[in-house]
Amino acid sequence: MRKNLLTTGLLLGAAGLAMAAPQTADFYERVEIPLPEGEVMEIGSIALMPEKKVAVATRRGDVWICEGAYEADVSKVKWSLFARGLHEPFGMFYKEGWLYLTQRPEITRLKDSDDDGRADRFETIAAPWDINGDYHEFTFGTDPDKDGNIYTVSCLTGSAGAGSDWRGWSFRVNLNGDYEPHASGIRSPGGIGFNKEGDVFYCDNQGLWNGSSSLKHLKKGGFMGNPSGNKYHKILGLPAPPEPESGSRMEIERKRFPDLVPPAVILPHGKVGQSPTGVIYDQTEGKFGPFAGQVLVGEQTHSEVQRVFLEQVNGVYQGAVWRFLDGFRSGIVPLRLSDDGSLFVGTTNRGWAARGGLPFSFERTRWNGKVPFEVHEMRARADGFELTFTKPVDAKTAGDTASYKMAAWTYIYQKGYGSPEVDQATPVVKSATVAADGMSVRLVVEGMVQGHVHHLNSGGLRSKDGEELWHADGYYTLNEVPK
Amino acid sequence: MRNWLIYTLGVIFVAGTAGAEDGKVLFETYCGACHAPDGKGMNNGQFPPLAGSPWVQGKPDRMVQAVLHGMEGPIEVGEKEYNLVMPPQGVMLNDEQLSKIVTYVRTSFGNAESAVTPAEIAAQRAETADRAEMWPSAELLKRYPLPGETEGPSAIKHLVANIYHGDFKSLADLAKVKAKPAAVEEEQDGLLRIDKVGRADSFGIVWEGDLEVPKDGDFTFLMDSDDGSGLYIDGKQVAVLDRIGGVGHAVKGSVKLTKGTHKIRVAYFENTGEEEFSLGWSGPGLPGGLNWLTPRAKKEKGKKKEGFPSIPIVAPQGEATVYRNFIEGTTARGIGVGYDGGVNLAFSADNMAVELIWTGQFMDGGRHWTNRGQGRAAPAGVRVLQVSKGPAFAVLESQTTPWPSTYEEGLKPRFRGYVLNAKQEPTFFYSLGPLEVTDSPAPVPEGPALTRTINIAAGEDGPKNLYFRVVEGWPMTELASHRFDIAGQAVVEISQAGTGQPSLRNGTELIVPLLLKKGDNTITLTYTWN
Repeated sequence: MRKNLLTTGLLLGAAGLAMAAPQTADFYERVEIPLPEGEVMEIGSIALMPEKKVAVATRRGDVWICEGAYEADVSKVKWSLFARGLHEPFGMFYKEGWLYLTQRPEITRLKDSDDDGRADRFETIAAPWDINGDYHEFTFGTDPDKDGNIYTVSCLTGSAGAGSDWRGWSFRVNLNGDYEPHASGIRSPGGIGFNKEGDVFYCDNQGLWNGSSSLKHLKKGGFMGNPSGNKYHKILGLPAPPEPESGSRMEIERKRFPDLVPPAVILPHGKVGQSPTGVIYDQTEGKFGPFAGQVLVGEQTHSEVQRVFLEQVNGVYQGAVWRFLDGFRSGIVPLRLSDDGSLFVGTTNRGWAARGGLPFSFERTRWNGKVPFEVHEMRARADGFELTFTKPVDAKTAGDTASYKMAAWTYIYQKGYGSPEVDQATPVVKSATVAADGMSVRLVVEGMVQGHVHHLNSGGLRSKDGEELWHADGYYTLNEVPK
Repeated sequence: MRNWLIYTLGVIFVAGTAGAEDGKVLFETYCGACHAPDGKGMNNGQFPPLAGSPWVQGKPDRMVQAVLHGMEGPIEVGEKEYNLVMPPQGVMLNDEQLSKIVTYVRTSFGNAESAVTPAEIAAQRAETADRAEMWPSAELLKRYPLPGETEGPSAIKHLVANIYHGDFKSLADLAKVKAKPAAVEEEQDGLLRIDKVGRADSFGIVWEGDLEVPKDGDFTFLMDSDDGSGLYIDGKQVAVLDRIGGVGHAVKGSVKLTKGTHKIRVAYFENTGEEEFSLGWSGPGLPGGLNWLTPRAKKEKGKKKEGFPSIPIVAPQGEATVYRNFIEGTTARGIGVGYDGGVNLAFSADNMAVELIWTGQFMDGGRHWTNRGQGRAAPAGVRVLQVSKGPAFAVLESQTTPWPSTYEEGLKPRFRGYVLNAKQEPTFFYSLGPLEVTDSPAPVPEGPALTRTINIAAGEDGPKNLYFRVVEGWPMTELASHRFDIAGQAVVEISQAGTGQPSLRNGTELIVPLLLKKGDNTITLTYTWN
């Protein structure tokens, strides 16, 4: 009797341990950087400067410079006001003595030319798009690419119109101010950036002609799906733009219109956030954990960072998203990762609610050196998927098809606001073959559907050390099936 | 035993899965980010609460329509005004999911309304299937009024108002009146109104009518008045507020009533000062919330609040401050400058012109710095003069050529930015075709006055017949050469150097030819408020 009780106690104890699910704080250390007293710092842009200074631009239009943001003890950071009076900048970087920023009316560069610590030159680089006074006419801009080009994306007027010129378009602008239209069909971006290969991606939010929020490849000449800004093709003398049929599917319409670029990775609305924002990739080569080269996406409503694996299949970008970091104090808009592995995020909940309890914050996250057990990459194969992991897997659970559950769906491609998940399918994992080193698993899947989001829950999987996955749910957007 | 365990676990698992799609989970996933998991509105009420909100009470159609198609425009919940956007959910969520969410909201956070079935959602969908736009809040409310704000037939039939004149200080005073009523009115709409008495002081009203009770049950009445009032049903006192005083001390009374007609009698008196009366009821068979038996027009007429706080933007001592945003009276690329000493301007980076000048306070950030920041903010100060609109420069064949509405190709404008001096005062720079122009405004110490120094760098063959439009749209008179009164508000003086003879066209458009030579050409303007 006593022995039985003891055994039961042990079993319960073990179960208790196994149930303590991994969380962000187990692997990443987050600190809130104190902000200047009395200032409203709804952060829309972050730039890294020489001498370990960090500049932030606020939605109210101020630029502040922070010293000490890299220190172990951030309670002693010093802030200085660099500029005031800009118009809601979203995208800022430092280059050769200037801060460049994309603000609502234009791209501008600022400089302190008399060394008094405050900007005195505000030079307009270019103003390719128009504005009319509507709050929704945001514009987001990137850092320069290797050729010195900034890419911009301009939100529609309201959530549906192009009431001012070039709403719903992207421009490529060089630092001399020359520019050209780059892509069209944009709805409501939350941020823009590059992947490791230097291709441009932006997040477009769920709404008209956008069934779910997604990460989109801003391909040169591409049409991103929302036809509200289509009248400018004619003005430019371009061939007629796609006029997709409402109620159809992306998979069908993109066969009709070769310029229509399908979302690279759908971030299923509600399941992986609700308002995706900034786009960066991990350039730290391991200083920010085991995800070097992958894309990180900010999330405003859920105050999170999501992790994206991208691959090109038959010339089209696609890949998978997993939820990643959570617990931020307000809605993330910009992200900035420094080479030493410090991820800075700026947050705001003004106008669009966010989790976390604060109206705004400036936060830094670093990897603590512990490797989380995660699916590292999820690659499409002609007959299934190949998963790689951050740690060796337990061969027994990883080789058991019962450890995996799949579901697949797509969205209606339509004029209306968003879409339900439709055309549900249940692909079946027929076999799971574990590599000899335990670092990858080859899944053979029956019933994959081209164009669908493939939700893979690997909840039954354990690492060699018996850990469960930090994030068991991955969502792969299968635009193309490898030949 | 083992089988039983597995069975139990199986049941739990299934229940868990079903639960994942229940109303609470759906609400928290799709709505909670703004309305908060507790239904009180996120961020200390930056977003409208659903807990206790009349918007979710009563007939479900209003709420269902707002959820299906979305809604924009100002709304009031409780005493607070909101002006946000409710994104439409009808396309994304199906009838089953919506019915769970709507039912959850109507039965949680203290709300106690009826459930809504998927079939009812489907019917609502069908009713507005053609709708392609979000509901403007006013239109939605007009079609689906809030409970108790219904303009439908009142529950009181055969209502008669007996109006008495006299110095009433209590209900007893009113009851003592022996004289015949000064007037007897039949109220066809069944509403108890005090606004047709014809006097504002020293009167009393006794209403009598038949109250139509829809169902057996307990009914609650809420009454408030300035000054006193009493409510009696079938001869029994239900609620009484017998004193002289203002509103805000509403009394409640409950009574058990059977279905059918009951005699209702209400006495009210006004002594002096303000006067007001309200009466509403709730109970079985009535729409949710309070159903008013008095007109609600007074409330609707209430003063319109601007839904944002004041955040003054002030130039620091000895410095100017810049505010780039949407400013009423100039174009969308407006750049406001507030100078120390109380003069201000707004420069249009579209038209390359100072378009507004004013004195006093600079700008208020409240509109743009709270919520989403929709719309244009007017200057916060006084004596606002819109001195220019459209292009400020033009090439004219003659002094009588009409001013163009946009810049012509030869003077294609390009804004190049601004430089701040030590006092943080900007000099704007821009190009107009081949011309490079700078505009340096500055306050005049003995003002209120502003000067602008405009420098135009011209090449070998700069445009001939270039004109500058100094002021447009105000009646003006010439005071002296190059000196004009602007509508009695201010005086503008144009430098003689660099300019030809100014010309006042139609009495409201002041233009001046610019005598360009190769190299720098400088003109100055001074605006002095009277």
